[in-house]
Amino acid sequence: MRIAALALLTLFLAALGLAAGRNWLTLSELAQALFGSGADARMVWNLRVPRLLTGVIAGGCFGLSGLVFQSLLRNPLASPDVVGLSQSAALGAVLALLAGLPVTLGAWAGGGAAVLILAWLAAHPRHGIEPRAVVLQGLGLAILAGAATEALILRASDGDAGMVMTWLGGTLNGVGWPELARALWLLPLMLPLLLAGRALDRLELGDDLAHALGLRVGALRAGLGALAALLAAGAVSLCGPMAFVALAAGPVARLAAYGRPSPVTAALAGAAFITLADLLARSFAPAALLPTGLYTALIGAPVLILAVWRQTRRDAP
Amino acid sequence: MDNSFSFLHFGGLRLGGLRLGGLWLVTLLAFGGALCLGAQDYPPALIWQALRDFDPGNAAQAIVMGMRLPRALAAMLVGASLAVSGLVMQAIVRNPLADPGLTGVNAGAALAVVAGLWVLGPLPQMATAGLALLGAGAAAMLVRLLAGGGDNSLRLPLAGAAFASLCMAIVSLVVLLNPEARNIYRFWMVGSLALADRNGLLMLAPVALVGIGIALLVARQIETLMLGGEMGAALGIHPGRVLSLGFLAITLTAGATVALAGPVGFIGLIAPHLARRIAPQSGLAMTVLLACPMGASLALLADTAGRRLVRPAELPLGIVLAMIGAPAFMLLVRRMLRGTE
Repeated sequence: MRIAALALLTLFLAALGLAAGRNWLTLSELAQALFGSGADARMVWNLRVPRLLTGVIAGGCFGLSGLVFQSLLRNPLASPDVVGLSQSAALGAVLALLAGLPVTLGAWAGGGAAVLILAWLAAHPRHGIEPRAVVLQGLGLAILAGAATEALILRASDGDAGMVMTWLGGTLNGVGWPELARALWLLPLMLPLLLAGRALDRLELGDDLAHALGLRVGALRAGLGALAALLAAGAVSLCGPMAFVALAAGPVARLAAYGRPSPVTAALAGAAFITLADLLARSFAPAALLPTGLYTALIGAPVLILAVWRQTRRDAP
Repeated sequence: MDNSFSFLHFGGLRLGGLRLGGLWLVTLLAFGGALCLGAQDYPPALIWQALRDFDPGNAAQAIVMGMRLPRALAAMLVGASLAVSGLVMQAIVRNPLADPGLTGVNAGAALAVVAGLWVLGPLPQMATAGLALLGAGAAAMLVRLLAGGGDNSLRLPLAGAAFASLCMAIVSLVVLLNPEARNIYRFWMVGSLALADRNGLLMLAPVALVGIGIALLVARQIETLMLGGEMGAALGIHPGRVLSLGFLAITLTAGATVALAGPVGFIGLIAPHLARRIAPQSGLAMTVLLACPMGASLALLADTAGRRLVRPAELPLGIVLAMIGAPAFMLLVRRMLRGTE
């Protein structure tokens, strides 16, 4: 029921996203543009449709990977944008961009490096990977990767720097059909995670119980984590590090799915979040063209504060 | 016992003095380096000449005296203030990870400055400084709340990061929306000494120095208080007054820094730790004295490196420090997590 409501909300926001912009379309104008021809149709099909779909796919990736990380580490703070994975992917992407290599590869390399570094830093000789250590070390990693990226930009030429700066804020500006084609590559990677709801649910029972239920815990964790990292880094390569989309999508999805880790719901929540933020970015102050990521940060930061607040109250002696 | 200068008799005055002297010597060297090195490198002889009798007609001397000298002095002030701010905060919330950058005090001050700019329009330097102090004070109180009972927990950096990211999101919103603000505050926002000038220095140096002075005066009482509430009361210490003075010190030092150089992180984390490492046995007051030159030389070195490494462009101080400080933070976290078993 709630999931259906979330899906409807996403659809509604998507329709609004197609209608909104420098010149707003009414519902009938939008229908005409979608199924007819003319100036409006060209604008909608060449600009708004690829932008919307790329945003939806990127949001879905962020949402999924947020939920999987939060679930695997049993910590609502352990999302890729809090533990520095997004920032490292952005660093990799910027490096690749400046070196003239494919951006997605750079983002994947950066994200992969972040996962390895965090796993190494947070590994405990006896208890395996400690979620609390991942979150705290990730905090440091996020700052480090962010600073390194800023330093790179300052060394880049002015033309590169301006482009990279906007992109680093998280933006869908300039996204067209080629970018959407790149985004479609992520869909097959999303599929296994979309179907992993049961596995996640069982893993949350604890490793021993999950093992008793017949799951190969270690391999499952590694596989799910690797896929989630690829998705988050892939989404960063599309639209820059949209702050806190992954963080907020997880809890929203849980709320909608009555406490269960439902991947489909998380993907929907992420998609709805980016669509909403992009709608705001294009509606308010279109002249300044603020990065979409600024709006996700403004909406998502209170979620982060709430998560920290709840967690520290639970941990408090 | 209430003799505030009794710290001088504790912890080996002579040894402490020697270390203090050594640190100030390092700071002096870093200061000289900051004057010599930059977009253009000048020999020490030229600097000496400029300092002894300044010839305004000489372009190189004009650069040294007009730009590098105020900037180097500002770096020293910022470094020392942040070091003291971090040290006092670490003592009060009993958490070695406390730092005005990591806990969001700097971000709160930056938010206050930018909010003032948004609501009231361009402001005189004095008003900016006032707003920074107000914001720092409010955020410091919030840190105290977030830190809760004051155990050695790891929640403080998390809560601080959450609060700081909200503040900085609003700051970048305002800065991006205001075309005039964008040019002025783009570097200030990440922490940079590029805007620090003579006037700002003259206005804010007394504020920061008063903050450092207060920290020195209440250091002993804070130390005693942190041993436990009853112990402090038995020794005739008024907890409310001491804590308020401690917070005043944090607010004055952090606020002055933000007004001068924007939100600069990690000096408040690194400098106190290095100071404690150099003199592990000394009391808080001696550590405050040691942290000052430590922070000052760190800021000088980081700013000089930022100007020298990517010339003719420059890396803002905040970014250089983040690249050194974030690994230091991760190292500390690792040690703390290993230690809590």
